[in-house]
Amino acid sequence: MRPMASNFPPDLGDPTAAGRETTTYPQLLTLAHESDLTKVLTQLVQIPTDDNGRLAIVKAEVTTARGVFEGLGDASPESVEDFLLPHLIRVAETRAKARALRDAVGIGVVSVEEISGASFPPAASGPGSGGGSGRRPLPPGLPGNGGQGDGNRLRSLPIDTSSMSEGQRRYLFRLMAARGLKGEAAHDSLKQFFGVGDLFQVSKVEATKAIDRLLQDAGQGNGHAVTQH
Amino acid sequence: MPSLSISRLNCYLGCPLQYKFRYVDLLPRPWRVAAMAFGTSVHAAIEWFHRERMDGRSPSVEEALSVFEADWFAQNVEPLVFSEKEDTDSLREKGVALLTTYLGIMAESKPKAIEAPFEIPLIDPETGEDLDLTLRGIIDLVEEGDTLVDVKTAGRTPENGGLERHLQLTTYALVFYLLHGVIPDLRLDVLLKLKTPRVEQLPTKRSLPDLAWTARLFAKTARAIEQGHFYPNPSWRCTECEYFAACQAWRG
Repeated sequence: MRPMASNFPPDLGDPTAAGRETTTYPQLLTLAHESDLTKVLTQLVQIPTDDNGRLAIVKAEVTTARGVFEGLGDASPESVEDFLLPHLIRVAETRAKARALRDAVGIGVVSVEEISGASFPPAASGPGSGGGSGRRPLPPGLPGNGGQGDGNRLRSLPIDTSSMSEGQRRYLFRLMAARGLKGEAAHDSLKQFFGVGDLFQVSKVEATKAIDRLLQDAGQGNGHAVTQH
Repeated sequence: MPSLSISRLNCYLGCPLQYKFRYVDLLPRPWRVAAMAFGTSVHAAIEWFHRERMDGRSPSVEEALSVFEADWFAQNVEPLVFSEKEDTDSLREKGVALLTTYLGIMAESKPKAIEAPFEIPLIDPETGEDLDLTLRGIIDLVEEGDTLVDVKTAGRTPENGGLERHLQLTTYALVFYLLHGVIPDLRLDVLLKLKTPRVEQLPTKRSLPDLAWTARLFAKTARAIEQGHFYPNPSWRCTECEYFAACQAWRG
């Protein structure tokens, strides 16, 4: 296991570990409503394009009686099931909301939707529609598959460990620039932050967590930090 | 329903085998053409600038240059292949000069949408026939008054007739027509990487037959892709193709 830098949030754990306990989006939503959920906002941070490896990034903001909680979610062809390929933005949105909801309700374990997107409604026959014919059966026991009766049970799934995307790397450098670190200074700082000698060793999941952390640190006051390209 | 974007269409038309390596086989690219990465970084700064303005802020050109420089540095972490007369620093300097000029010009423009994604069923605009394809892509910039703008970095101005045949602009017009029933005004903003960097703004228009022709091009290309017609198209572009080695090993 590669150690994270000491200033990394301690509750992040090791994001590259394969297999862990998980929760589900419906379970999180239920808990959030019990915590007087009042608002869920989402913002498209990065549009998936061929230039950025079709990586969609969405930011979610959840407001409950306990405060305001933010989360980032991403989705790319490498991180979703085939039937979800036309719906990367919506998968990223679900993942972002799940992350924000987890913080809001104090759940430390990752949700199924953040990992695989598999419980996201399957592809429809036309753009913008939900469900419909041609849907591929979900793996047994996953939420939405029906008939299994265990949609809220914790389960284990593998985690995507592929390298961070070009879009994530570019965004990280821009976030560092917004903090006054440019060029090699930013590069060195990022390598130290991730505890690697080469940024290509950093996974997509690790990069997402770092972006999330840097955005939270930067707050909403800096346009460099809020808009991703 | 299958889908096709402008960039995928252009890739297939340029070289069907490159399309296969990139989008079907998902081959990792060993390096990237610097000119492409440069264009992406310039786009990022322009997009940031317009988004800030649309959000009611007053971004400075210097801030946008900071976005460009950070993005350009990040692009150079990955192996890039430069043309003979270019390197990281010279392109950075050209980017700064081009953006300073261009954003100065655009400071008075009124952006209505920036990097606007679309995903619509493709219909022949002349016959109304459903072409059984989803058309998707991103419009660089929509200005008030519905002028659709494509922004390009290039080493030279478009060749004779290049503006009229510019596929991206025609696709923008097609999408706008299918959504609103009106053919919009179009403009190509070219940021020229010359010894003395220069910006040109080139207005143009399209007719209904132009849009129908392009719709059919999308539909036919999608069918060719579906049927697996992947073959090389040898040209001067091969020297800067990321998949040159895989192409040499190709035997059909």
